[in-house]
Amino acid sequence: MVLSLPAQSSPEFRYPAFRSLTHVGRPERIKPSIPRMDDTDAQLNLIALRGLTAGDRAAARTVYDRYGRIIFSVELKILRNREEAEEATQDVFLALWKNARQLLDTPEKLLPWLLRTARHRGIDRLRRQRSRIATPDSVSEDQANRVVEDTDDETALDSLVDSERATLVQSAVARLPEEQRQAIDLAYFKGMTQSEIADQQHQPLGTVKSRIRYALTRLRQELEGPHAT
Amino acid sequence: MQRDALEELAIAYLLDELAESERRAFEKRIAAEPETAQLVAELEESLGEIALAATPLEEPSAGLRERVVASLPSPSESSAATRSRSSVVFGPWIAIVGWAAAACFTVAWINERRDLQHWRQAAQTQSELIEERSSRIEQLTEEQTELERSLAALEADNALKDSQLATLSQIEDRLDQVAQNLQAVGAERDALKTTVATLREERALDKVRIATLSSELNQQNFGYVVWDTQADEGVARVYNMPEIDPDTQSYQLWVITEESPAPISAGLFTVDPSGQGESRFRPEGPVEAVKAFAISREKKGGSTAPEGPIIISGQPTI
Repeated sequence: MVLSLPAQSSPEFRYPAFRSLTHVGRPERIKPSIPRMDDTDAQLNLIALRGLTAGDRAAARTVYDRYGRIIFSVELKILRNREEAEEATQDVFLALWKNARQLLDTPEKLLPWLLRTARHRGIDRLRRQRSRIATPDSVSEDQANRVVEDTDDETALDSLVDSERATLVQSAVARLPEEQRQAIDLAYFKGMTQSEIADQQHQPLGTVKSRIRYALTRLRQELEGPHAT
Repeated sequence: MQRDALEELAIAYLLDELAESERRAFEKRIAAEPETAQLVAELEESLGEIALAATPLEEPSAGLRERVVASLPSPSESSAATRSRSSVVFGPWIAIVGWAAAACFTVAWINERRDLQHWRQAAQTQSELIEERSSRIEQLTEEQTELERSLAALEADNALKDSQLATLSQIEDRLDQVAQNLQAVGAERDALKTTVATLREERALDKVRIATLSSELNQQNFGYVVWDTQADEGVARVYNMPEIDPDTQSYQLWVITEESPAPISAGLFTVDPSGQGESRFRPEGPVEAVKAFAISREKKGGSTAPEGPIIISGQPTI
């Protein structure tokens, strides 16, 4: 005879600031998750997130070792300034330090959260910088706007997935029509709204929306084809 | 909402183009609709992969790692910083913050109580479950005991039936015996009937007297008479009687009684040429006690009193 606990969810702690007063060492409720990229990644993320929640700086170093370079690369792509990119990277990890608990139930979403936060912080900084003064840390416009087409160039994606998938993705991206890739580049890395892109390119807003939408759906279709892994 | 429109809305969400209210509304929808959540996740992944595929991998400065770690506040530092900022920046609002903190603490305490209550309820529910299971076990045990009793009763009943069957078999055997006995009794009854009939016949002979008639002159002339004393009638049979002239002579039977000195005629008697004859007769007068019987040769038609010679005669035996 197996007795099980009633099907009730544990009460939520609504005031994290007082958690140290109320938490009596109860085990954390972990929902099972099915990470998209790799179960091992999700498990490693979960371990790191638990450490971050507990204030373990070693966990912060672990996360940085896994994703710091990527975050920095994205920030640099956006900000085109190394100092700014490093500061933005610190902002991202500070945000993670404060909000790690939110990701405990979905550790597989750590990277998407980091990327979203990195883009958000980067775009915020970019918008605050109305005038850009060239500094030795600045990267050139060409370098910042470089579209990766040479498969020999290492990309942020290469450090995340195996080379086969990275090649598939990069090949699929390379096959995207130029206007679709440009629309995504302007929206993602330049922080332009789709309306602003439409104005800049003298295109209807619907066209710009469709281009971005087609780019994303086409990529998914190509990656889910027979050759995908 | 059609798929295309939903995808455009999701993309706007991922690119942070939605207004605050729109963003919150869409996040609620993501939480409520698994399909929408799945769509957003897929688009986000695709968007991320495109972005990362277009991002050259750059190496930050060597010290960034430690600067990142060093910039992370400790939990105590976070609290102290909060208090410090509160005292320096929010001087006039300390009282309000204090009251708010107290309220939060109270709410947290209430939540804690609620947590404890929750665990108590869970424990209570467990106890109830255990008690219910125990009660069920007892009930099943009682049912099992009852079933065992029923089984024992059935087995006893079967044994009784077996015994009854054996008894029935014995009874059948006895019935067979009885039938045989009855048959024997029947046979005895029949024998008894025969005996009774015989006895009855024997009793009937009580009223029958038999007289043997013989001749002193010729032993070949004989006869007998069977006389019913109650009916006063009898039967006479003769053998080897001398031949007589039927034109002029007749044999006549006479009954001699104790009470009457004169023989009483019992009628004429006819014999065949071999001298044999039989006659059923009734005396022509009352007979009390028969003393003897006689047959004489008389003139043709008989006489009122014996005149001719007595051919045969005899006395009835007792």
